[in-house]
Amino acid sequence: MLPVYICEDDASVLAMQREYLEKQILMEGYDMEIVLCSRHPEEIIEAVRKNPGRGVYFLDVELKGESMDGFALGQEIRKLDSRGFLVYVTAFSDLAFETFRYHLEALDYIVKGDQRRLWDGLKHCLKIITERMHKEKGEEREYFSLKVMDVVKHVPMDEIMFFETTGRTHRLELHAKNDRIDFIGSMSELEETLGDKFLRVHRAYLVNVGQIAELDLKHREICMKNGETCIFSKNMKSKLLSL
Amino acid sequence: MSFFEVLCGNLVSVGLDTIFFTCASILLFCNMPRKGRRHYAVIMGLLVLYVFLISLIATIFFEFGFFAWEHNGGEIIIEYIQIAGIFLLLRAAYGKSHGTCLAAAIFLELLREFGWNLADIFTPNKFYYLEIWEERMEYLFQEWVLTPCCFLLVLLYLYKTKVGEVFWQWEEYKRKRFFLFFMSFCPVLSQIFQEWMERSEKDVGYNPAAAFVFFLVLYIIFLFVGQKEMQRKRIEEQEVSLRQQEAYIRNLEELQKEVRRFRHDFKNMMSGMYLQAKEGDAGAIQEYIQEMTEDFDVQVGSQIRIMNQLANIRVTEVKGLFLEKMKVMQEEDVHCELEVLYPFEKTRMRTTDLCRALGILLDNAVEEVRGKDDGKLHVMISCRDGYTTFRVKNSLYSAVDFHRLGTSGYSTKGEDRGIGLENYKRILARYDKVLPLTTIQDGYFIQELKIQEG
Repeated sequence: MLPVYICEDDASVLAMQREYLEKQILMEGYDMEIVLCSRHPEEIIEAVRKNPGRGVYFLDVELKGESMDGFALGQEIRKLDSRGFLVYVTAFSDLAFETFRYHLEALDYIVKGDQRRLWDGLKHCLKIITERMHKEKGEEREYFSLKVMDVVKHVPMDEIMFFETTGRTHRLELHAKNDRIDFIGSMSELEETLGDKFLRVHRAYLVNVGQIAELDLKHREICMKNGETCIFSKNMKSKLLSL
Repeated sequence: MSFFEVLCGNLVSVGLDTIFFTCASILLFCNMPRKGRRHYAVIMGLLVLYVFLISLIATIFFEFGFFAWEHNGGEIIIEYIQIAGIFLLLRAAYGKSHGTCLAAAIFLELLREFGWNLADIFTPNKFYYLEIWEERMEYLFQEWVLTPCCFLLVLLYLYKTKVGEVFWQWEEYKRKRFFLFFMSFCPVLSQIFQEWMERSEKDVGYNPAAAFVFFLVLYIIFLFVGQKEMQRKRIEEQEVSLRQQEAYIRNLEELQKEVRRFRHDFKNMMSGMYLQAKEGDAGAIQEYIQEMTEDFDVQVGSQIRIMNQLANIRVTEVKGLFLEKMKVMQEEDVHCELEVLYPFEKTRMRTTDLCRALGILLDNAVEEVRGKDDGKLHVMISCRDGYTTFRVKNSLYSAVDFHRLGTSGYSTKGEDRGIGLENYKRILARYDKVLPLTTIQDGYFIQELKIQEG
């Protein structure tokens, strides 16, 4: 059962949202339950802290007279529930949603000015959340999580080609099928955490063994499945051939 | 004098020289070498090795009488060996390009010679008989006290003239190769010049002023090139900022025009609504209000929205850049959205570099979506918790050969392109705490630029 939290500073809108969501959950038979509707962000945080786990959060962006706004509340919730669903409800149609999505991995945002749009938005969100929960059940994909300054990036393990050192110390570059990420880290630590699936073929390269397409022994080059190449050191030749 | 004594003496002299080189190169490159304790250990080791090797070579030269060669041949060879040594040291410490390091090495050697000659002016008695105790003392006094003082003077001068700024400009100067070629002959040229002067004066004695003059000429050329480059850039920057301000004003004027137009419509609508209210038709009034808000959104709202976001960019140069690019996009009918949730006040990156980097990202994005009906371009600037993120996201139509992105000459737009992203990488390579990220996601091409401000 997914707990649903609502934070909204306008009491009448709050009651309206609650009523509508309850009706929807009942009608569609969603596996959710509204556990807390509050006008104060602190109450929401406290409740999540007491009852940790994945939840659904409908948050107002502008919380008048409160200690924090919706963005800060989202940040606090993210600290406690990294996989929950954040949905923002706002009166402004020009909300900087990409910023919310970027920092908080927010699911969606709904404009509450027009009642019908609000209803449609809420309904749509519940549907998407349920769909996503279903999809995740079947998926057993492994992800590599990477902290890049203030955000965490998740890259599917089987899309990573290799890690490369760059000209600067402690600066590494991740080469993946759809990503190219520079980050601060150490090669030896990476080698340790990633384990057997990755092989340090050269001082400068840590290669995903499963993504090797072919070896060019003459030029001591490895060709990856996406066409990228990297070199390997002499003494790694036998190990590579035995793979 | 025994071999060992000479070697010890040389070790101290070369050591002093090396300290001077180190300080001067820090001034020249504006920063300490790359961080990391191991790296420092390596540099220190190399420095010691350098001092020892040069001293050894100089001692051998001295013992075999190479310094007595005609035309100062021995000294010139030593100078070239030193240049090579410094070049390698700089490469190891800073990891800059070959050309830059070579230029810096030659320049440092020239500075050393300059300092030396400065010391020579105070002690015109050039030849010392090192076997005689007093003469040797005098020589050592010159070598170990007077010369370092002169080095200090030179360093002070470098610091005062902000040599690092000039050198940085010089690094980007285009006809570097020619200048480098000329510079590399300096030790020989300086000798020739000196001898020529001595002949013309019919004076057999040594003339430090000759080298002095020679060096000054070189330094002036160097400064001149740097300053010229700097000036050219400054003018360019001013032109850009002027253009941006014009764009800003034009934008405001357009907004005002739209508001006036809307005011006119608004009056008409109001009178229409008034009639409906008179008849008591609530449904029609509701429809009217709906229509009016939507109209407002379309006509003025979108402009105001962008202006609102732009207002949060407090770095004038960046604001100007966006204004200019937005104008271009408007002309080319590219729809762009901008998001700046929290004010962007300042950044550790040089604004000129930041503008260049962002300009490249924006140009690439515009190029990709230009002429496409459903093309989307979204720019986000986010400043949170001591980090600044720039994110440019655009619909992707052409297949990107991901791993070749940013390498010279590769572009999805055909040959002779792809220089943009290569430049972009080069600009960012100067900074420690600036990271580039590239992602393809859900049919969008996303470029991120993250800066750690703290």
